[in-house]
Amino acid sequence: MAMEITQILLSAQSVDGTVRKHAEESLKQFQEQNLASFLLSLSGELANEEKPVDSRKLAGLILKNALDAKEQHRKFELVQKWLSLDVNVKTQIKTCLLQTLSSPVPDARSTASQVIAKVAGIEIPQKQWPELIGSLLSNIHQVPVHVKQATLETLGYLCEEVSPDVVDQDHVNKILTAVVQGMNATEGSNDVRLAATRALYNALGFAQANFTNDMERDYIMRVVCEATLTPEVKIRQAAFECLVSISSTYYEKLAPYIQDIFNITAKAVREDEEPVALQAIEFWSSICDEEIDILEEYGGDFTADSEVPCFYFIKQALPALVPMLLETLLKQEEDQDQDEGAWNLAMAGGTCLGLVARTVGDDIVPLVLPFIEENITKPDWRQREAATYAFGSILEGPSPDKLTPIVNVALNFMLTALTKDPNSHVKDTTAWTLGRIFEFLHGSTVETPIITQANCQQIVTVLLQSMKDAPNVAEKACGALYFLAQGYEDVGPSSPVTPYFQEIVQSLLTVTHREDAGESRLRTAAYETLNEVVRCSTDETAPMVLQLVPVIMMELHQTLEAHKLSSDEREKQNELQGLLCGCLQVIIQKLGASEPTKYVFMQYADQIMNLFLRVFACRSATVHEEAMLAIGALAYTTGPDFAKYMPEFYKYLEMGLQNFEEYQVCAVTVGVVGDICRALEDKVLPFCDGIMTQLLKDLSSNQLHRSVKPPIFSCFGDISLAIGENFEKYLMYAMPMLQSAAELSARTSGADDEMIEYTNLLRNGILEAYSGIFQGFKNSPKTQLLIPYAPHILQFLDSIYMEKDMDDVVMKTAIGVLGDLADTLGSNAGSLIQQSLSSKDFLSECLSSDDHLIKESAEWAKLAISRAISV
Amino acid sequence: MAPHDLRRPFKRPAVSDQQKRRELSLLRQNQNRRDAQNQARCLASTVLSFPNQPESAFEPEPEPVLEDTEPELGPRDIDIRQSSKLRGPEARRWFAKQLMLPEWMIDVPDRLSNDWEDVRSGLRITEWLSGRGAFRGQGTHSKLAFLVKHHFCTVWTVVNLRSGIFQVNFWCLCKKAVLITFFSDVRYVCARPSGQRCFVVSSNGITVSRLRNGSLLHRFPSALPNGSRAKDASRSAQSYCILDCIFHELDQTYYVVDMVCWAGISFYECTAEFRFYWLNNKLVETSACDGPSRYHRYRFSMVPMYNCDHEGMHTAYTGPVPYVRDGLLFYNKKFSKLSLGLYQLVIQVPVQRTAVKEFKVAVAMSRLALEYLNLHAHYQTGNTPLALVWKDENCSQYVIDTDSKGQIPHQQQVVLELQDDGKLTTYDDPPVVFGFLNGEFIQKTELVAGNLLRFSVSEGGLVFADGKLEKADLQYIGKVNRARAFADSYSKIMFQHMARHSPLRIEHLLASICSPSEQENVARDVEMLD
Repeated sequence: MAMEITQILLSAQSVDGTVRKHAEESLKQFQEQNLASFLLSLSGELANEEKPVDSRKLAGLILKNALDAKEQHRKFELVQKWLSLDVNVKTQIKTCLLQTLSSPVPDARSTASQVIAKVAGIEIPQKQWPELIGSLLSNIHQVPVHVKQATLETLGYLCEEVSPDVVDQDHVNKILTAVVQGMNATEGSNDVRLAATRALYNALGFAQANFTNDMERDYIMRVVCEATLTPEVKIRQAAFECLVSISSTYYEKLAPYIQDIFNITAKAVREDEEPVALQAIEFWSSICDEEIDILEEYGGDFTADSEVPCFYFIKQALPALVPMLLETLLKQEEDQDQDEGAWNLAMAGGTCLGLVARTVGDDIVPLVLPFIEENITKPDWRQREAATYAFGSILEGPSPDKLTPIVNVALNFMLTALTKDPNSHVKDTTAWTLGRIFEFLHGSTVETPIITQANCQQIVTVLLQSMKDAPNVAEKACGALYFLAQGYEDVGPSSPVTPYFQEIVQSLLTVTHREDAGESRLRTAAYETLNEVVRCSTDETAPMVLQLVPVIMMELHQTLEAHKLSSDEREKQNELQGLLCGCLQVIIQKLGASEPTKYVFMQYADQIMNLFLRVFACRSATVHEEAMLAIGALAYTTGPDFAKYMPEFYKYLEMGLQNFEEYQVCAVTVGVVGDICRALEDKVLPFCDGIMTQLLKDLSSNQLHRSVKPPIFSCFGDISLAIGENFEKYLMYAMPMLQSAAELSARTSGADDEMIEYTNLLRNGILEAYSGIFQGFKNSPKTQLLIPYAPHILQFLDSIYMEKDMDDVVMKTAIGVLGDLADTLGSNAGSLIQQSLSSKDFLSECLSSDDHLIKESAEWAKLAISRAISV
Repeated sequence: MAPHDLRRPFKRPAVSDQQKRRELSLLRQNQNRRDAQNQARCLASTVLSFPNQPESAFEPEPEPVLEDTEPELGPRDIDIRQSSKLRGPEARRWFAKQLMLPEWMIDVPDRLSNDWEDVRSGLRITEWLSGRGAFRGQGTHSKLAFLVKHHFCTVWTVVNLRSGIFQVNFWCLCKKAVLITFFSDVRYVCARPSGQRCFVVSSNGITVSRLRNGSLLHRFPSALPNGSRAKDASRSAQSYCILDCIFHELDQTYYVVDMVCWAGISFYECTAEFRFYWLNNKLVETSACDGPSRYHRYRFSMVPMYNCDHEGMHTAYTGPVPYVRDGLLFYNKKFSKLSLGLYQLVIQVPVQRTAVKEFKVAVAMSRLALEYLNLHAHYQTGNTPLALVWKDENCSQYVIDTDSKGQIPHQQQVVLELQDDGKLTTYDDPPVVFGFLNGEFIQKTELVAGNLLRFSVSEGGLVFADGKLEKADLQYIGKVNRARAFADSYSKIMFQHMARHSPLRIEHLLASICSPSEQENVARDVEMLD
């Protein structure tokens, strides 16, 4: 096998498809039959200097893929397989890998360093391969430059793979020392410096302790800053990447260096090559991100202790920073608006300017205004566009008081530019700016309206006109209309948009039919705008929304008529169906919200459901998420009548619940199960065996994204509330699951914010399940079936109360469960309840809560408990 | 290690519309879940806090309106969990549905007095199941086969009673219609008091009565559990009551005709037999039948119930009652008002251990039966109600509906609901179509679907073929008063029509109560199995 593996690996890269396929199959077979010998051959191939570079590279890649995968469960499997290999086999493989680092062939070295990092990622947390870091560090002192370079690269990958907490500080110090020395100007080889700089980027997360030490920090910062000035562009770019990473990881340590960094970045933005300049701008965008977060946490209350203080770097740098950014705006590319992947200096500069505006608010306005005034009427389109872009960028952040007078002056100019400017780029940015004006300065919360009786018609006319312009301009015009409609969301019974409603809807539908609607995501924008227009419409225009139903239904019907599609066409059909189902969802929700329109809408329910079922039938393996969302809205609107669709719909519901890969689809389907339970109530019973089976499978799957699990628990509650005591037969499955999840979520010590947030979502799901189950069994002769679970549930309530880290939602649900338990079990649980902490401290804390929802639930619990106890 | 991508969203909103739709759905679902939970939480307290209807709803109405001395609703499935959807017209509808309203007797039900008898197959269930009488020696298996064949049985639990003998709890799952036909003829009869039908709720130290359209009748202290703030009154666990009453003006008494909840316990699913037994005991126990006092403003009284045999019917029809009589009310004794679409009945039969295996077969078969029932979920119930009302001029002042001035109109009047396709329908499930309005007329009169319209039955009258309505000659009068919540039910219209043309007489009812010899005949028709 060792002999022929070279040939197989080369065949696997053959241009001949059949040869390739055959080789791939052989490899797969080999891997399945004897993993140890397979991995050994691969590592041998990779290490063998006599083998062709292509087979060595592929051997390394396959080896890497045998150690890691994107999907969590697959990754876990691979890790287990590696760990269970014979120690000698592993040692042999590792020896080969380390040996390859000294190979004169760059590709072999580079591949080996990635594989080493993967092995380290598995073994170091298990306290295995303790000698790795030592042996890598000894390589650093070797003479051959390529070995040094490969070793630094390996250290970089290693820092990416391994969590900082499993590497002891001594090793961290040595790694950092090696890396920073490699970056130093005294290092003669550019390859080594580049590898070291890139390695530092990953190693920064390990440097917490070193950054608290002034001397070490100073040294690291000096070396990084020096690296931004090297003649080699790749090193400069990598060094700026390090600075960007430092700006977010060590924001609070930056004060001593910020002046120097400003000088370095300003020079780079103005003079350096674009990839470097973009990183330099990104440094400031990243600082803005940090300060926006911190200031948000302050929440205007400066007495509150924030973990990180704000150093107001942006505010201090403002006078120099803003001119630097404004300069970049003039460096547009001709066709950037048509190129989806474009990212250039002007785009990055404008984006950063927008972030600066959000960080400092009003202060930015006087610094940008002269630039706008000076350039907005210039003959060069670049100047007009830059001025408009600058204006649009600063609309979020400063107060309406500051902006409204300027916008009032500018609005007319903008409307004229949108129709008359000869340059499409200018029109694109103008339409976008109008959208921003409506987004931030128009709506019920704004005191002085920008849109008035006097200019409303003109604005609508101009936007509808623009929707006939080039796709990118039309798309921005749709966006502006979106925010215009949104601003009237809670305008009351009569909306200023009403007179134009029909025309707007018609224009949007026309846009969706444009031949070029596939460009610049124009069709999507048109449907999204239509959705918002419908969402924000008032009773006055309800008849027109009703008329829209058959129109959209017809469109959806037409997508179903196309047959024998190519895969490209199928994808387009799929996307269009998504947009149409989304639109129907919004319409259903709108019309279902008031009795009279719901009544008329219901005449379409059968046909719409039929269309949705046909959309599902278009696909074989997966269900359409948008159709599923729409069906949820339909179930809510039709209520018990939805039962008649269940026999046909059920299989798709099941299919959605089985979709582990696209977890959003699964999550949406779980939500729809809830809708159906509430609509059908006990009529959902015949489907519950299947649904519960699927939900239980979902819960026990390690493939399914964890975010879907809390809603599944809530769904148990929905089901029980719907079918009442018939939930009996599921108790023996659901209760242990709830119980173990409850135990897991009761302990949170040492968890990070993200974990605590998830834990609270999980707790809420579990508690909603308990609530639903208790309420479902209320007044049933089978109530006693729940008594055995009561002690654990009360214990769970007590323990989350003790943990003191639940959020308001959990608090409300938890105290409600206490009430439901008391209400359903009554005197059976009286003494248990009286013994629990929840019925005393927790309850009284909730009773005095400021949150009225918590208080309401607590009042309920109090009432229920007093009844249960008094019997 | 390639450079890291640093592109940021450019000229794009931060949240996609799809994401927005997902989030809005989630928000709606959470809201709905919270609503559902809140609904489940407190019934009685929300009943009390339900905002009062304006009193004007009871003042004499300007337009000529037939006085509804009788509720005209068909029985509806009741679900306590829906009770707190207490907003506007929906709330009134809910209250209206809470009363188990009798249908009008338009046909004499077969054998008003027979106990446990299947009319169709002539099978006496009690004897059959216990293997007594004519059924001695029949195998358990054949019995089960019979039940499964008729779509309504499974064996749910097997309890070991004593060595070798098991008690099998049959859970009959079947459509209401099948079940009621099967066990239809166990009845009570009573003389119905004349007055306003209402819903009496005691909770939280106060008692409230509401008419079937949801509007308030009285708010008063009573001796019902938790019905007053009297110190000695019971305020203990879940102490609220919901009674179905008729308020009799003359003696200012609430006559209790049924019970929904007593002390927080729902009686929806209990048999009438049990409900009346319980009511009788409890009303006396709580002194609610005593005369008015400080903590008890109105007297409550039970209506005397009789078994529906010759003697019972005769007593109800002519015997002395302390109130003004308004017709007779028939109750099905053994059946409860179940809120499920599938109806359950537990029958316990002791069997030998050896039979247990056979039950397992039956369990499997019952699954098939269940599926069958789901497939035929729209099969309708027909006229086999749990309660029926009948009257003639001897036992009621109001046999034929009067208008608001107390006059009997020349022609019968009916109230129908306009559907969006122009059909005119009754308040039944499913609605019965009585006529059709053309679009032009609807437009001209500015009517919209859902309007309740009054018609008079003209010369052509109501024409029947094969027991089904074939033609109705209707003359449009106008819209009804807005206090009306529902159209007339089919049975009400039919009763009124018959009252004017060929009334159902007491002799018909008495004749239907068959003699013992007839029962013998029936028993001989037993379908023999095995």
